[in-house]
Amino acid sequence: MLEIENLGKRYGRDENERWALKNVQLTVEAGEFISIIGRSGSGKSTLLNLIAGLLKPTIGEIYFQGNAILNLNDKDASQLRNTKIGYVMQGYGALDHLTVLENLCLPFWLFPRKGEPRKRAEQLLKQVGLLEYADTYPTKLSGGELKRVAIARALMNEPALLLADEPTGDLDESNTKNILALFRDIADQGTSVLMVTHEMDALSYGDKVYRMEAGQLIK
Amino acid sequence: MKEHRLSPFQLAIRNLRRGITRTTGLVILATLLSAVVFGGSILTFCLQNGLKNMKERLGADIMVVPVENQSELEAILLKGEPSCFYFKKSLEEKVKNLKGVEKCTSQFFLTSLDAECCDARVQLIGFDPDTDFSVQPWIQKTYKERLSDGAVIIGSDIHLEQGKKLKLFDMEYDVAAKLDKTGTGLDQAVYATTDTIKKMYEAAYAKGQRFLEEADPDFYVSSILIRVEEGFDVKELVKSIRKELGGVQVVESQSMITGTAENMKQVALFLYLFSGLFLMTAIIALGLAFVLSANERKREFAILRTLGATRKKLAGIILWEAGLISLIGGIIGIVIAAMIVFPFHVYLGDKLGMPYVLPPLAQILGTGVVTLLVAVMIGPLAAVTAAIKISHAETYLIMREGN
Ligand SMILES: Nc1ncnc2c1ncn2[C@@H]1O[C@H](COP(=O)(O)OP(=O)(O)O)[C@@H](O)[C@H]1O
Ligand SMILES: [Mg+2]
Repeated sequence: MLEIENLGKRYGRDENERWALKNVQLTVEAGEFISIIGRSGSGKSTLLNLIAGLLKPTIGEIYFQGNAILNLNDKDASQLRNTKIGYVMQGYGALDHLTVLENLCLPFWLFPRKGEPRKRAEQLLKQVGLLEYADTYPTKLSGGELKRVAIARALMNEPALLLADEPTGDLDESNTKNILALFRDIADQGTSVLMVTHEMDALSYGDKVYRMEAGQLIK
Repeated sequence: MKEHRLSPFQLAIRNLRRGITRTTGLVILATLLSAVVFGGSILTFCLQNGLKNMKERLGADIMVVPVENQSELEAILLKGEPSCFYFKKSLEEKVKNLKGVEKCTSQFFLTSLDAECCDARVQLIGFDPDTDFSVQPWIQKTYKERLSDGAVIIGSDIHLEQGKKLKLFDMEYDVAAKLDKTGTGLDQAVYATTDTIKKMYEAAYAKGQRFLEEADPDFYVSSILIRVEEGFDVKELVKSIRKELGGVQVVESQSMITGTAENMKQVALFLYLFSGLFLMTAIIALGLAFVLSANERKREFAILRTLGATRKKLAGIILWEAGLISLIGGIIGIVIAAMIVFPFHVYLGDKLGMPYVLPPLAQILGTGVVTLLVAVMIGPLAAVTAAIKISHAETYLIMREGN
C-alpha cells in the first residue's frame, strides 16, 4: 500500500546542512497498524510530512498504492492528501471558528464532491464518543476530546492511510488507551495506521514497532 | 448547520466574524480610505462644476463698473455679498458704439434691508429686458414667459417658493421662478426688470432708505455688460473702453474666471495629493495588517493544508477576506462621506469662497461606483503579499513555528 525507498531529507545549506532523515526504507500494508518511536528531533514529523506530500525529500521515492507520488503538482498532491491520506498533526489541530461538526466536514468540502457529509460526520463523532459536542465550538473541549475530533476529521474521507503525529502527546493514561484502541479499530476496518510517538510515551503498540534514531529507521 | 459547503468565501466570512476586533480595525481603515477617495472626488467635481457654471452664467466678456468697485463686483459674483454702486447711464451709449461690441447692456443694483424678505440682505439686480443677454438666457431655462412688471426671479439659495410673494421695502412682488443653482454669489440674488427695480427704488426712497444720493435708475447704472464680437480681440476693446471712458474699471470675465480657476486648481491639487498620499498609506497599512494577521494565523492555514487545501485555496481565503473587508469598508466610507459632503456642501462652498455646485446625480452615482470598485480592489491588492506568503510557505515550517 505504501512503499518508501531510500528516503532522505536534508535541511539547511553549507555548514548548517544536516540530514534529518536518511536511508529510510518502510513498507505499510493495508490494514496494518505501525508505530514509530523516537525522541524529539529524531525526524518523525519530517517523515510524516514527506509521506503526506507537505514536504519534498532530498532523495528517495514514495509509492502510494503502486504510484510514485513525489512528482505530483500541488493540486494533485493536495487531492491525494484530501482523499486518501488522513493526517492528525502534532499538537492542537482544530479550527476554532467552526463547530466540531463543521471541522469534521471540512475535508469533505475542500474538493467538489457529491453527497451530504453530515451523516458520515455524525457517525464518526459517535464512534469517537463526541456526538453530543457536534454543534459545540472546539474551544470548549478538553485536550483528549480535541485529539479525537482531529482523528475523526482525518477519517472523514475514508482514507487508505492515517498518519498520526504524537497523537497521545499531552494525554493522560485513560485518554491514551482510548485513542490506541480507536487506532486498532480503524486498522481492523482496513485503514492503515502509521503513528509516531515520543519515546517517553514508550508505546510499543501496533502490528509493527520501529525506532527512529537520528533520522534512521531501525526495526 | 445548513446544507452548504464551506467555500473559501464562506470560510472567509467565518474568519472575519471570529476575529471581530481585527476585522473591525481593518474595516475602519478601508472605510477611511473610501471616504477620502469619494469625498475628495466629489469636492473636486463640485469645484469644477461651479467653474463651468460660472463661465456659462456670466455671459458677458467684459464688465464695466465704477473705478473703485471691482472688488465689490467680484464679491457679488463669487461670494454673494450684496453691494451697490453707480455711474452715469450715458456711458452705456458711448460703449455701445465702440468697434468690436456685439452686445451691450446695463444692470442696476440695489440691496434689500437686513433680513427683510430673506435670511439675510440680498442683492437686487435689475436688467433691461430689451438689451439684456446675460440674465434672460438662463431665466428662460426655468421661466419661458417674458418677466412681467412687478415680478421677480430668485436665485436658488433664496428660501422662497415659486408663486409666493417676496416682500421688499413694505411692498410685495410675485416670485415668477427660481433659478438653477450656479454655486456663485448669483444664487443669493433677486432679479427683476429695470422698471420693477425702479419701483423698488421708489418704495425704498419713500421709506427713507437712501442708497446713493443721485442714483436714480433713469440716469444711473451699476455695471455695463459687453459681449465682444466673434474674432475681435477682447484686450483691444478693453483698451478702447479705457480710452473712451474715464473713472471706470474694466473687468474681463476671463481674467476673473482664470483667477478663480487658479485658486481652484490649488484646492483640487491639494485634494488629489491628499487622497493619493492617503491611498498609498492605507494600502501599505492594510498590506501590513494582512501580513501580520496571516502570520498570526499560520497554524490555521497549516491545518487546512494537511486536510488537502491547495495553495490556491489558501490564497483564495485571504483574498476573499480582504475583498469583503474592503467592500464593507468601501460602502460605509461612501455613506459617511456622503453624509458629510452633501448636507454641508453649502457651508463648504461658502468657506472655500469659490463657485461650488454639486455635480449631476449620474456623476455622483458614477463616482460612488468607481470609488467602490477602487476600494474593493485595494483590499485584495494589499493582501497579495500575505496571500503569496501563506500559500508558498512550507506547511511543515508553519507547523513547527505554530507549535
Ligand atoms: N525546516 C527545518 N530547517 C532545519 N532543520 C529542521 C527543519 N525542520 C526540522 N529540522 C530538524 O530536523 C530534525 C528532525 O525534526 P523533526 O522531524 O521535527 O523531529 P521530531 O518530529 O522527531 O521531533 C531536527 O533536528 C530538526 O531540528
Ligand atoms: Mg515532531
